[in-house]
Amino acid sequence: MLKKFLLGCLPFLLMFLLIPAALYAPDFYARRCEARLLSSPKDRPEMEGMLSEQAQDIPVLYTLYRNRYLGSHYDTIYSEIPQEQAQKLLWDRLFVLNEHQLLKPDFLNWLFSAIDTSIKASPSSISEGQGIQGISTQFSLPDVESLSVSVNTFVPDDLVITFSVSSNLSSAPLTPDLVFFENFLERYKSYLGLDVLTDWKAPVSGDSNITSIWSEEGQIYLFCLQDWDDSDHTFSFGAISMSPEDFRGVDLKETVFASDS
Amino acid sequence: MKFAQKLTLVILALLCVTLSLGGAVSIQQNFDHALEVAEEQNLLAHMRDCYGLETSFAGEAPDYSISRLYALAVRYMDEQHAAFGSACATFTIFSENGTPIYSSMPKTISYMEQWNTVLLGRGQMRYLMADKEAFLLLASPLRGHPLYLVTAHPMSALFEERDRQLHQYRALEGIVLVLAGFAAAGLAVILTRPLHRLEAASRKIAGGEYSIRVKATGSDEVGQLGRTFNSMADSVEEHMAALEEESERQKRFVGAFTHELKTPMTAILGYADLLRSGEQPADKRQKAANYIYHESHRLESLSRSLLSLLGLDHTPPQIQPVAVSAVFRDVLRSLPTLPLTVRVKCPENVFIAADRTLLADLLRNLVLNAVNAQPRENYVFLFCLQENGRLRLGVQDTGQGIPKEELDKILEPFYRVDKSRARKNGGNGVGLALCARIAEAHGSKLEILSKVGTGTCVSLVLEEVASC
Repeated sequence: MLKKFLLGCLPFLLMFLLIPAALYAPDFYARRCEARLLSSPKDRPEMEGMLSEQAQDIPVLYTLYRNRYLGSHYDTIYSEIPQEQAQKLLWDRLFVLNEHQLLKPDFLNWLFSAIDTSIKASPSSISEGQGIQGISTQFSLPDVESLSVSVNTFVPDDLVITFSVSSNLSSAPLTPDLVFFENFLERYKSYLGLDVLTDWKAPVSGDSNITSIWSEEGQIYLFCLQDWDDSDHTFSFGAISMSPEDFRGVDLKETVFASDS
Repeated sequence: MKFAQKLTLVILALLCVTLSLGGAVSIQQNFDHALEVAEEQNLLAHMRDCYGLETSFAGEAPDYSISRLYALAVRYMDEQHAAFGSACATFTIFSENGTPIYSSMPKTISYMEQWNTVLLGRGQMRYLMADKEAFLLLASPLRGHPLYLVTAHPMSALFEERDRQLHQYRALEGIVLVLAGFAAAGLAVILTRPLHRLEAASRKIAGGEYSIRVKATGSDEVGQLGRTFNSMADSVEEHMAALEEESERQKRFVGAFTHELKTPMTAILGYADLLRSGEQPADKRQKAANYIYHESHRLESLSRSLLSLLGLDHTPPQIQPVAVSAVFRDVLRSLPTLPLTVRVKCPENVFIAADRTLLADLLRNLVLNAVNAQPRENYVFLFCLQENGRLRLGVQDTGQGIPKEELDKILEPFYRVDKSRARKNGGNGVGLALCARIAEAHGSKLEILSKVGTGTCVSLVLEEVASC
């Protein structure tokens, strides 16, 4: 009789044990998972848009990539420098470009001459930070209203990473054949030490004034641009770090102009 | 334990398991997802710190001054605080030999924990619980510098949110289980109510109340069970009624049999006692001897008929194709001298599957019964008619007929419509019962049409078969 009674009570007893067990089972499971999480290291998630190890070994590439990540104005100091100092710095850069046969001698001579004969110059600005030094100067010449030159240099290796000249002088030799050597972008790529990247492609641009090449592995875009209207002439070249997503989605011309500023 | 209780417990147990597993997996998945999102964000922040410090230390290589690095790190930390407030990560900068150069880490995260994170390499990260605060530790070398950065990202908010969800789910699960328990109990009671009714009805039927039925509604299994139960109860009731009727019949049989035995036996005893008591006159002695002889003969005939009746129960008839005309000849040949004629109507060359002897006995009995019915005409009619491929065999008379209320009893053994006349004619009361049993053994039955004052027709229908 007692045994039958106890057997009858057993299912209810089990249910009274099961209910609290069920209520605390999620806690128990969570604690077990937490203990596992805390007891052993975990693989890092893959970071999208990360520069490859090979590309990171190229200092200029890594610096441009890093600066893109941090923002262009991160840890950068802007100041004004005297005209003479700005001229000297510009000449240094132009000599380097001449030495590496990136820009044609006639154009460089014209530019030296124009800078040398400038009659008035606005205060020149210089920016330093993130391994990049930028100089921007505007000259006034007798027969032109203005001549603007800006150049950014990767300081550790003294490499010009953007160069831009803008003038309203109608006789200035600012056409691609007069400014750039042939195969300019190939020369520029070698100059920057980016030959080790093997996935260079020439993107199709709707604008005939832009010539460019792109490496997805290095997330780097090299370009040269020539643009003019009735009175204003602009040419520039440079290297821009951008993610593959940005490269596919952006207006290249706008990007190029934005990089000048 | 009652079925309703079992049902309630099973439902509750299933709910417990389902809710627990579902809750555990669901909350853990949410937590894992939140961790993944936070890990990606913190990895971005970590890389940003790496890049920022690499930039800050760019001008220091190759002659690193610890005080200079410390100052730059302090400046960087201040900038981060200014930009992100308290949400920014804390970090430690190690030299390549493990010497900490700068640290904004909480003291609860030990040096060894931090350095061990460096030793894990760039591909891994680790979680740490320090003084009830959870952190994600990430370490990377600073490119271009012989330094390592370890960042600690507070993750306690996610753990607290998970704990809050667990607590909330526990309360919700408790409420659901209580409500579900009551609902399951109520449901079980409702579902088992028809079964209770069935059980009560079964008990009453077992107690002899065969007329009890349950209310069976609905098309589900329980409704079907109720209907089946009612059908079963109908069958039981019918069967019990049949048994009672059979019992009554047997009682009647025993009573009649006793009576059939007792009457001649009493007379035999009387006459035998008379003969034994002394010398009797010759006529009286002759009468007594005759009476004893005839009654003994009738008893012997009765016992033979009863043996035939019983024999049919144990020995199946020898069914084979037989010509009806041959059976009729057997009947006519076996009849004693009758006070009237037997007219026969039988088509030629028709055959039936039958035990010739038994069928002849059946028809003979019917003819004798017809003769005893005192026909108005001077004949009885033995016929065989073709009906839709079958043959109807029977005997018709123009006698007194049988009252309607007697028709369903005359097939019982020893039952007689006119008892005195039947006994006087030598009938033992078993003839028609034997005929009915023979018809049954042939897969047929006796059909009796009778009208008082007009006559009686007794027949059976058998399948016509091809000739043998």
